[in-house]
Amino acid sequence: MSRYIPYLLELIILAPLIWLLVYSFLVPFVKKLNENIPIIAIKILGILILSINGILLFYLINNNVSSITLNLGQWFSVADYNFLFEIKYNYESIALSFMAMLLISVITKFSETYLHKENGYHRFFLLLSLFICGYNIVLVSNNIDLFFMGWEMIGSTSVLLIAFYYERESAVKNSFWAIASYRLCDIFILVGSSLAHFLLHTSNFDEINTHIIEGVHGAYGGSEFIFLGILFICGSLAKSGQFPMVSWLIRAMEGPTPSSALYYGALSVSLGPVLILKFYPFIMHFWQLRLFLILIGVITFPFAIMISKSKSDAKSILAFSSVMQLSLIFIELGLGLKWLALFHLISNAFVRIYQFLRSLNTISDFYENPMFFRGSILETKSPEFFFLTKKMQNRLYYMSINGFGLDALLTRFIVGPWMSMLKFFNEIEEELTTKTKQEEVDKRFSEHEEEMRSL
Amino acid sequence: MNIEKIIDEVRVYLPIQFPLGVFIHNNMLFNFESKSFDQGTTEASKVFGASLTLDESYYFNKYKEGKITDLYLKPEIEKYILENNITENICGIKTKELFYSLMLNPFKVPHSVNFERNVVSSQFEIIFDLAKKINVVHEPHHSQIISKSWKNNFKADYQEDVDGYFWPLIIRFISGYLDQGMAVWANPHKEIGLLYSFKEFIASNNGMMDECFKNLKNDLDLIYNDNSVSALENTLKQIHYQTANLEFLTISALELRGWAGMVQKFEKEPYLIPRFVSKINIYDYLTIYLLLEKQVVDFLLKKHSLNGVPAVKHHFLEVDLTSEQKAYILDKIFILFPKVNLNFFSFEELNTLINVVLEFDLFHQSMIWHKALDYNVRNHFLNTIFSFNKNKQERKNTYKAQFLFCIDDREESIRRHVEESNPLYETFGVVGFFGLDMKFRSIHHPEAKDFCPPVVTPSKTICETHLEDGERGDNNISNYGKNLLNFFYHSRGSIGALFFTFVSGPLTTIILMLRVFFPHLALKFSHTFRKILIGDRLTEINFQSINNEKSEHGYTTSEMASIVSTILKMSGLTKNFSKYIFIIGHGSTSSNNPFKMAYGCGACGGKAGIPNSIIFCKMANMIEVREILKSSFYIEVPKDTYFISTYHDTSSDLINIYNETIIFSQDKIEFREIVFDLVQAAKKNSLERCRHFEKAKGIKTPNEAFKHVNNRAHSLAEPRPEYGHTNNAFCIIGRRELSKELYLDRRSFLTSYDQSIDLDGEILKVVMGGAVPVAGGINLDYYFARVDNEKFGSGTKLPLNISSLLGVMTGGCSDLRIGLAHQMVELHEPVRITILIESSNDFVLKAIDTNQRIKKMVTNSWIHLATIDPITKEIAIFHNNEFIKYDPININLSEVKSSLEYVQEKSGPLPYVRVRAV
Repeated sequence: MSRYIPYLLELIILAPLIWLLVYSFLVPFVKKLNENIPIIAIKILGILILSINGILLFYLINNNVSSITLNLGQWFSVADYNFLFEIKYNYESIALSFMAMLLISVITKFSETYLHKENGYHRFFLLLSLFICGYNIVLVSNNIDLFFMGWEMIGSTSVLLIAFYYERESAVKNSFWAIASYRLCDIFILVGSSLAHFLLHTSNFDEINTHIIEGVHGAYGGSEFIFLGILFICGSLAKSGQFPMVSWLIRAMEGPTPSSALYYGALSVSLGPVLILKFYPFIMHFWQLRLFLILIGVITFPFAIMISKSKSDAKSILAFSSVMQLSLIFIELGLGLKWLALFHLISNAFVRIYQFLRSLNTISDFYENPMFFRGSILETKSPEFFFLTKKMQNRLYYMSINGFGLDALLTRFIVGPWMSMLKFFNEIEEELTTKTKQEEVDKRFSEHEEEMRSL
Repeated sequence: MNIEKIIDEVRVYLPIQFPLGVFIHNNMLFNFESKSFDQGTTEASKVFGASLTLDESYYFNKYKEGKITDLYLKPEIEKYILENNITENICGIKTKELFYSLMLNPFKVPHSVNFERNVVSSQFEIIFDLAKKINVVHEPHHSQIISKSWKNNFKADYQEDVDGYFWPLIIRFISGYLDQGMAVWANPHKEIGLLYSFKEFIASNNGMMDECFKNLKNDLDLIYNDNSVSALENTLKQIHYQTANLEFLTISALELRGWAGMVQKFEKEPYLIPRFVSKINIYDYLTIYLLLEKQVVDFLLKKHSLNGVPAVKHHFLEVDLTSEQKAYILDKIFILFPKVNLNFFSFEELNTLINVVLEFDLFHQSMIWHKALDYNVRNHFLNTIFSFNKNKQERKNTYKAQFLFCIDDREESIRRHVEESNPLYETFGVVGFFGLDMKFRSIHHPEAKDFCPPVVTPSKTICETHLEDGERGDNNISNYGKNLLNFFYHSRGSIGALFFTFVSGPLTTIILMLRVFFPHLALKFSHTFRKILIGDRLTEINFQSINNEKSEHGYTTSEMASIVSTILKMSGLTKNFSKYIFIIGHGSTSSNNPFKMAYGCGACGGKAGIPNSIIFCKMANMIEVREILKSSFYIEVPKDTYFISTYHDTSSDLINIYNETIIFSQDKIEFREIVFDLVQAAKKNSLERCRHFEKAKGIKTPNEAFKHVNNRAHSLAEPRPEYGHTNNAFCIIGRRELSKELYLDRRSFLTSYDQSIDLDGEILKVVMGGAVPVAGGINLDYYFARVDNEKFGSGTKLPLNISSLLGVMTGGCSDLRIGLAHQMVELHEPVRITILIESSNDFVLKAIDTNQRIKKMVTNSWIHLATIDPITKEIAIFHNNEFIKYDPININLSEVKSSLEYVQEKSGPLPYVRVRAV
């Protein structure tokens, strides 16, 4: 049986990729593409990947091994650097992949009727397919480079789904917040991966972990590696909406409900812990890094809980309760409770997705509730803050409505300077391109004319 | 000028929508009803920047399908020419013919003409030479002037989005303040006032706000006043970038009109708000809005070192035409009228020709198309009714069963199916609250809710109680409710959520899978679960007043008799009673649907009319009531007649019978047969509805269709549980015989009324007072939501997000959306409703005079009104306060054997036909 295992592993990455390629050719070239095509394909993909997971699980248990590693080949090599498709399969990836495919098939079934007849139906499923690719790559990758590829696939689909209704200005604007936050944290990962190359001459997770723990590169002390670990932990903050990268999540609820559910309720926000799990042995090795993880969780937790408590729209409440759970997962990881964290992650994903999907039911839920009209018992309290005076509680309420000023902070110190830099470049570019502008205007007119003729 | 007076004028423009939990269909432009339809809608479209018609391609397709005919198109063109004083002849072409051809061959003048790519006539070069010589002075038409507000100029000139700076802030704040219990943490100053709360908000966040709000605290302290009016006055004094007049305040109030409208609802009609009536008024809201706007403007002016906001510019479109464009227009005309030799005419004449063509743009064409469609639909309907009624139909003497449905247009089809299944079944339509002006308190909802139309003030509160073990039952229910609420709050942002997530993760997985993959099974589980928790106890409804004394908590026997007699008289069922009379209330099941109330029974305030049906039947079955009916109202209901309370679900097509136990055992077999027929009719009804659902293609039998609509109703993922009142266009008030056996495609409200038992027109007043405002409100709600779904509707359902339990926002932070969602109205044909009354004209005129709302709607032509004489069958149309005789055109209605056979596997609107069951 072990002969076929490599093929099965390849299939996990290749099958979604092949479907993605086929579909991305179908969408622009086939007019009135049948709505059932992506549904059937994603169903097949789901069954395929779920059953492969089952087989691999059986294999791992049967042969009493903890992981399978494999190199699928090499993309390119520059000097002594090779971009390798290295794969590692272990119990964690099986669990997470199992959860992801289950949720994706739920979302697919849901969207089949939910997005029926909607403009951009195929766009949605194209992005979902890209997401499946990215998520599987992230889960099974065994080096930073491959991991980053999947990571970016997910990031870009997230941004494009926030801007799904691109006719609305606010949707596009808010998608920029998301992309900016993602990018900011991606910088940490990129710097981290270069540093890893520099220090350890490898990008393989296993090698990084073992080398650091065993001290193979004795030339460097602990502090460099602690810095490296901090970089990677920082890189995981934006995707999981941890402090201080919270404010983009407030703005991310612009896409259709199933995409918000999948991304901000369940899967996309769980990517932070996934990255940390990749470096788990290394991070566990340094108490400073564990403390850092716990610190992030401890800071985020009250933030998320207060924002979630003070929000008055269904989806934001859920997104922030998800963030709150993730902050706890960060703490659990910092404490070294890996399996508990994993269970927590999966539990949270299912609970949130369910609550997200039925979030539009809230009005009926409340109005049909026998106790809804009896206001008195509903004077909602916050038992967590019993030690504060009434005045301080009020103040906290108002502060959490404002998101604790994090928005303003980010605008002033990061977005502002960044935007002025972009504007500066934009001015230069405009000076250079004034000539071609006129041509563009002409082109727009002729397009308009085309439209008229088709009418 | 007095600020309060100005604000009162502003209030008129604010939306009138209730919170979605108590949503009731009404005319979106209710406040414009005192003006005529054309005038009111034009004004509204200017104020809201909304469109009043669909794309002209929609109407063009209707024309191709024959739904719009030249008969109505041409007069509309002539009317347009008359109204706009356009010359009758231009360059030897009759203007009306020119316009007619232009509408059938629409074109837009391209911005730059490319000779090779544009299809041109063989004469093009000659025309081009001609065009070069014309000097066109084109006065831009009113519709082509786009006045850009200063905010747009900020965006265009400085890439600054003024609203983007402060809208998120004010929306978050207001939604938290108005919140009905969505957030765990409620605003602590709801009872004190919005402005005070805002002050606290600013004080708490000092130094934590965006850069542009640096001076906010100082400014707020300057203007702050306990009196909201003076606070607003103070604020207006500080506004330096615009003159603070009525126009400015109107624009400001309308920018977030959903929230502003909700603020007004809280202020003016707080009894509609179920909980937490926050103290709020529109002055406070405007103060905060303007204060924040001022901060942003100040900030931007400083940032770009400006002295004032960019002035409002007028952008003119298509003022200077190039010779190519002129030639293009002339050439198009030449292609349409090849016989006209353009060389014969002077340059001035050609100039006018081009001007006239330019002014007759797609906007005006759509308006003409739209009006033509409106009149076409109305007159075609009147013609159909006229042709159908050539042979008189009369009521039979004996019937096997009679069915009283709601007047709802969705019940039109099931009534047809019931009648088709047996010629001895008779149906009636009465307003679905069955005359019960009551609040009803069920054991599951300890708070009494209105179960009557909003125009009726409930006089009684009827309660349902447990028959046995009442205390425990009540406790169980309130504990159940409490637990659900605790569950809601503590599964989200709370420490409890930690444990909840751990424990319930695997369980939720199963529930999630069930609800998404097997919605029906999930429903059964949840019912069982609920039953286990609450227990299944017998209940009774205490609708009788104690000792037959007048009271608020029950009806006396004479009151009951008068209710029953009114309903029977309204429906025209005063003789020839059958043994079984089904009183059918209706409601609608849907899941994950914030607009649920819009699907319910409009006459029961958007709820399901089950209690009304049950109570009415209990009343009518009482021997005492029947005696009074006989003695004082001269209605003799036979002793062995049963009134049977029934429920029809318009979305899942479920039929429920509630008082089967009263049937004597010897009648049971016969009764079951009739119920079977009714259930079958409901299933046929589902099949008829399925033709609009694309996902239901291939469904051929009623049973399959029933399963399909059932899944639709219970599925979490279904944005279209049913198409609601889609395509409603008519309301017939008259005997069923007027439209019996006529296939009306679920387009008509059917209200029973028999003039022969209405001696003085009093019954008509009651019938019209119930039916017309409800039908008109529903129709206009659908109408406006369809013509401009972004401005008069909620847009697409998919990104909607419940906010404060009051309404929906698009995405995370937007204006509160008002009106119906796109998925509800996408198939609707936007025409005004035609109310056809089978009665003499003076009765109708008398009825109109007594009801102000109807009078406004009718005289200002927000709805069409027509009468058909019960005896002569002459049709008259209400126009300019009088009835004008209408000359109907005879239509040959084709005949089909059954409606099912006719509708199967057809989509889109179908022509009306005669259904002759063999």
